Formats: sequence, structure tokens, C-alpha cells
Amino acid sequence: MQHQKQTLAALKCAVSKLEGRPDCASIGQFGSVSGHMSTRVFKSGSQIETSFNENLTLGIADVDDRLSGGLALDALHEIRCDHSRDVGAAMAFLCALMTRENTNENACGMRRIIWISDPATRPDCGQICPDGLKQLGLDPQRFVFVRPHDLRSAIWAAGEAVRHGGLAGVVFHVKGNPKILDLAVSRKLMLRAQRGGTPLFLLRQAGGEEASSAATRWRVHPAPSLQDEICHRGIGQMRHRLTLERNRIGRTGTWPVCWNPSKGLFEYAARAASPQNTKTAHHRTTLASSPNRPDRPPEVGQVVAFERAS
Amino acid sequence: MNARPEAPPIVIVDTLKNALRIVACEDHPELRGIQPGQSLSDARAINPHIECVQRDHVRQSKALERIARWCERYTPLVSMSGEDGLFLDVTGCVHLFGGEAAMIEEIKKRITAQGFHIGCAMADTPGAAWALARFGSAIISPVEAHKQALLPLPLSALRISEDDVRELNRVGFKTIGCLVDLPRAPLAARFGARILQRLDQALGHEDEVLSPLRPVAELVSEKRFAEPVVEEDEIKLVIRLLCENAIPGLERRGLGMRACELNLFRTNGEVETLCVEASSPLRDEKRMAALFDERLTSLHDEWEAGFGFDLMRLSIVRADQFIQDQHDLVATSQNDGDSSYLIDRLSARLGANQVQVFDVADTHIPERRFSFSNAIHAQAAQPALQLTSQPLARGEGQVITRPLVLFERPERVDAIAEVPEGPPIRFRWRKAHYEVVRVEGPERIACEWWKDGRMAQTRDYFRVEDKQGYRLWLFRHGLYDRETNNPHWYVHGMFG
Repeated sequence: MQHQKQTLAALKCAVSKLEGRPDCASIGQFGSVSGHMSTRVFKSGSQIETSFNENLTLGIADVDDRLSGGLALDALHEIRCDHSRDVGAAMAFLCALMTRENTNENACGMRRIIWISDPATRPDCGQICPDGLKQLGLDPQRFVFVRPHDLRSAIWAAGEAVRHGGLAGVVFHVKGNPKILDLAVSRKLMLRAQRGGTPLFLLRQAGGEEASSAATRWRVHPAPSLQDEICHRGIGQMRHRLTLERNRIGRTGTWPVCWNPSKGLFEYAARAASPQNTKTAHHRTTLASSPNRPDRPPEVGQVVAFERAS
Repeated sequence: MNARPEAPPIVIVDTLKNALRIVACEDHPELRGIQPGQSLSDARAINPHIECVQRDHVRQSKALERIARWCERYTPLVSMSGEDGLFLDVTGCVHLFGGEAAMIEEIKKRITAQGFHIGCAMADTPGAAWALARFGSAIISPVEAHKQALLPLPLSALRISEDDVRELNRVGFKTIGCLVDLPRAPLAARFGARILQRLDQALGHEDEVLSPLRPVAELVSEKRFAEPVVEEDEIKLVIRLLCENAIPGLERRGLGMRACELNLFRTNGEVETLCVEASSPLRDEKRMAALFDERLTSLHDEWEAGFGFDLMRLSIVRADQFIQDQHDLVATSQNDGDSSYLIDRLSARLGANQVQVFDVADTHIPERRFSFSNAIHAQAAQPALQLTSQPLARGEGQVITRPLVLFERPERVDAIAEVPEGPPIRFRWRKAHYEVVRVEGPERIACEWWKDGRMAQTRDYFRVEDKQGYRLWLFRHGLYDRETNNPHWYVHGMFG
């Protein structure tokens, strides 16, 4: 019986090692190999350079705890948004995350970022603006844009870039849920990311939830910004509603977060905008929309109470 | 040439001296008595069944160019001569083909096998070779003996105009030999210096510069096959061997490959060319071969070996100084130099235009502020050192004025805004309504009148946030009342 148990535990450990699951350590007496070691096994000879604690933290303790210390840097992470118009928020979250990587590893802060985009994303999303990147805290010179003619070449390019290693990150920007980017492909990309030690961010523009082998999946939705300290009507720190939809190593959750550019970290920003900010810039009150009706444009103008005629 | 045995013979005609004349005719028994230069009506009188085709200069020169490309298998210095000839500078290449006689025999045999009638000759000067190929009997003139071969030839062999030939003939000069011993000054005074120049060039008293069709490669390594190569694996293997052969040459010169060209000579006379580039000087045969592998893979569908290739040539077209850097024992492979190999491979597979980096311009117009340039070429312009010069200071990103995403062309929106210069209050973009809650602006960006002209309009940019939190970059195109009475609104970008 004991022998069978041992065999089972060994098999389980082997399976989780194959899948690159870091929680292999918790399984029986064979768990002496720590999770990070298991993912490093592929990179023979390169263990000297990689520190053990190389995770991408957001800066919010609650979120980082659920990720057990931040996003793994050698994995596939998916960031999606519901609509095409949300893609700006998703990109900003992603770029802010990559800025964090900058702070975490000072020595290799200037490695390249490869941004591979599917041609289908282009009509809705336009181009990344270097000035915008710079203001967010990323050097535009680090970016290399790869725009293949079709998705199949884009997948190939993502696989090659991730496997190559030595990059700060690879972003694979796709639109929707294309058929050829299925579970098998995402599994392959995940394994390559582990082997290359490079984070691969799958930015899914206007895409739904889909089974994939990503380590985490985030949904980003824009939220009204915080009040600007100087200009009261101005736009403050950017704020997002961040949902961790999938987490292979822990629980999921939703947080309102805002990006603090001066400190270079995300902050928990639960407090709703102050009442005066909920008013429109032009100080008009709006009527509550009636329930169970199709949405209609909010009323224009002010509601004035007339005196009763009789 | 004519694949229809029972069809009438073909002649090619063109308008020369106010008449349709034959410029070329087929080698056909029924065409006996018909020769180039005859008028078409005379030829019709001899044989009424001939089929005539109008000469097409464009296609003729294209065909000649393709023959020239094919001739590059003999020497890299091939140049065009007029519209019906080629010069091959074979200095130093002859021994590769077993001597002069064997070489010229092979050229003649191979071109004739492709269906062309050629005359060729080899001599010490281009002028002499030109004359011998057209008028001479000897194909190869021995070294220093071209003068004797030229003397009995007619004056047309000197590459001078018809009028000059007629003038000289009228005064009794019929052959080149007549001109050689004449006093030069009166000849030049009467007939022009051009004749003397041509004479000197033919005799070798004056140098003639031939301009090759394509620049000569830095290094060439090639392989000939007795049997044509067809299989992809074999081709890849040969590419690998060619790359290996090129490496010692590069090492000797202290160079690294930047651009490289592979010529594949088909057995049927076509020449295929594959080019790959490297963003930094490369001196590694595995990597070079890998770049060609990517290139071949990307061409896989639209390319086939056909009857195979009988010669493959790798020429290093561009090479730069290779800086050998010493590696640390515990060196990290994570420096920037390494990512250049990835860029090379991606560019080879997807095309250099698909792998790009930012190129920033000095202007305020947002869409002109940046463009993209090919990563493979950009790295040479700004070396990797510059890239890593200075990390961005933290806190630089505090004030956000520019969007993260800029649309390729501004998208028109229906907006309600304060007149004349107020921010938008509400607008409809991509069929959705947005109610503006917060606004920053305007930021006025004037047009570049030196590019756009007088009528170009000023833009007032607003950073706008709507109720749900969408942060967009809108602008009003045109100043109210000064530039336009009905300014339009556009969304130009998205903030995070």
C-alpha cells in the first residue's frame, strides 16, 4: 500500500513537473524540489544568473499574496478586455506591469520588449504612441514591433521570441478568440515561455473567456480616474477595475487599482470618486434610467421643479 | 524556337529607314535568300508565306537582361552593350572553366541550347571583342594579337555611327587597317574625335570602363553540380556548406556579414535570388544558414525547384567590421546583442518590413511625430549602446499628455461642444455615446504650413474622460470663425 502511494505521488510530481506547476512541492515526500527549481530544470547551466525570487509584483499586497509573490516571469499570462474600446486600458495595465519589471531587476532593465500583433487588431487599435509609452515610464527604444501578415506567422513569431530568451517580455496582441489559437497552442507557448524564462503576455482585445494554459488571466476594465491634486476638473491617476479571472496557484478576485506613476506601483483605489466628481463637468443632473428597458441615452438638461398650477 | 513544325517561318520586322525591314529571322529552310536588313516586301516576294512579328524593344531588353543575369555564373562583371550585346569581363575566371577555348565553347553551347543564336569572341579589349563577335572569323584572339585580327574588319566594327562609316567609306577607307596608320590630327579634325577614341579603345591604347549590372560582392562562394539539385534538404545542406566556405574569407578580412545573397541558377536558364540581412555583423555559419532556412520556409508555397539547380552561389553583398568581444565565463546571454539574432530571424521569415522599431521625428503633429523603420537596418544606425545609455528616471511619467494608442487616422465623432472654443460635452464615437465628466485642455497644435499649405487647420486637443472611465484624446479641427464655421471633432487616441 505504502509502495503504491509512493508511486502515485511520484507520478503526480512528474505530471506537475511536466505541466510546470510550481506547487509540486506540496506533494508528499518528493516535494523537496521547489517549484522554481522545477521550472529551471530546462535551462541547464543558466541557474547562476537567475535569482530565485524573480516575480513580477504589482505592489498591492493583497494581489501579490494571491499570486504567491507576484506574476511568474517565465509563464504565459493572458490579459483581456471585453470590448475593443477597452484595449487602451488593457495596454496601459500591461505597460505599467512591464515598468514594474524594470524596477524589480535593475541590472537587466533595458532588455528588449517584442510586441507581436495580429493584423486583425490593427483597424480598431491603431498604433502605440512612443510619447505615451515614455510618459508611462517605458523607453520606446526598447520596443520591437512585429506585424506578420497572418495569425499563423504571428503565433510562430511569438513562440520563437519567447523561446529565444533574454528579453524583458513578449506581448502577443490578438483580437477576439481566433480558432487556431487553441489550447494546444497556448500550452506550447506556455512551455516555451518556461524554457526561455521570458514572460509572454497574451493581450486579447475584445475577447471572451477561453480555456487556455495561461498561468493567470486578467480582465481589465477602465474606471473613472481619481481626482487630480492640482486641477480639480482634470484627469487624475488612471484607474482600472482589475479582475483576476484565472489563477493556477491561488484564488481569484477583483480589485479597483490605480497606477501611481511617481512611485511606479499599483495602488488599491477603492474609494469612489468624491461626490462632486460624479457630477458631469457641466453640472447637469441626470435621471435614473428606468429598469427593464433597453438602455437609452441619458436625458439632457436640468430638472426643474415647477410650481403647481393649482 | 518555333514549336509548330508545319507553321510558316517567323521573321521579326521593324521600321528602319522608312520601310518595314527584317531585323531577325529564323533559321529555317524556307527562308533561304531572306536576310536581316531586307525590306519586308522583298522578303514577301521571295516567300509569301512568312509570318512577321513586330519587334518589341522592351521585351527584347528584358530578355537580354535575363541572359545577363544568367551569365553571372561565369563572372560577376557582366555589363550590357547596346541593346543586343553583353560584355563579360572574365579576367581571372577563365581557369575555372578549363581555359579560354573551353569557356567560350561552353557559353556558346549553353546559350544555343536555350534557343538563341549568338556570336561571341574573346579578346584583350572590349572593343576588339565586340568587333570580332560580329565581323570576325576567329573566336579567340591570342594575347596581344587582337590588332592583327582587327585590321581586315570593316569600319562598322568600330562601334561608330552609320553616318561616320558612310563618310569614311566615301573617301576610300573601307577597313580598320586603313585608319590605323593615318595621321591622327587631320582625321580628328575632319571626322570627329569619337572615331579616334573608338579606334584607340579597340586597339587598347585607351581604357574602356565597363559598368557591371550589379555591384561586385565582397565575397563569393559557389558550388556547381553535375546533376541538378532538387530536394529542399539538399539545398539547405548546400547553403550550409557555402556559408562555411565564406567564413574563413570573412575572418581574414575582419568582416562580418550584413547582407547576403543566394543565387540559384536553374537548369533552364532562370536565376532565383534570395536575400537575407543581419542587423549586426554576423560570422557564424549556423546562424547564416538558419536565416536562409527561414527565408526558404517563408517562400515554401510560392516557390518550387522545378527541374533543379545546377549552380548555387552565395555572395556577401555587404559586410561590416566585425568586433570580436570577449565573453565572460559566467556571461549572461541576456544582453542586447543577442536579441539581434532574433530580429534577423523574424525579418528573414516575415520580411524586413514586418519587424520594426520606433523612429522619432522632430515635429508636434502627433501622427508625424513617430514612424517605424525596419529593425534590421535601425540597429546599425543607432548601436545597442545608445539604447542602454540611460534608463528613464522614475517620475518622468507623472504628467500624461499623450495617449498610449494613436489611431492611424483620426476617427470622426459627432460631438456637442461649447462654442467657440470649449471642450466637448458629449459625443458619439463608434456608435456609442460618451458623456464627458472630466476634461483637460485645450492643447493647441498648429499645422505645419510649410507642408500642409495655407488652408490647413489648427487642432485643439482635449484629454477627455467619460462617465464610465474611458479616457480619450479628442480634437477640434479648425478654429471657430477664423478657419472654419463648422469645425469637426475627431478622436485621435486612447489613454490607459
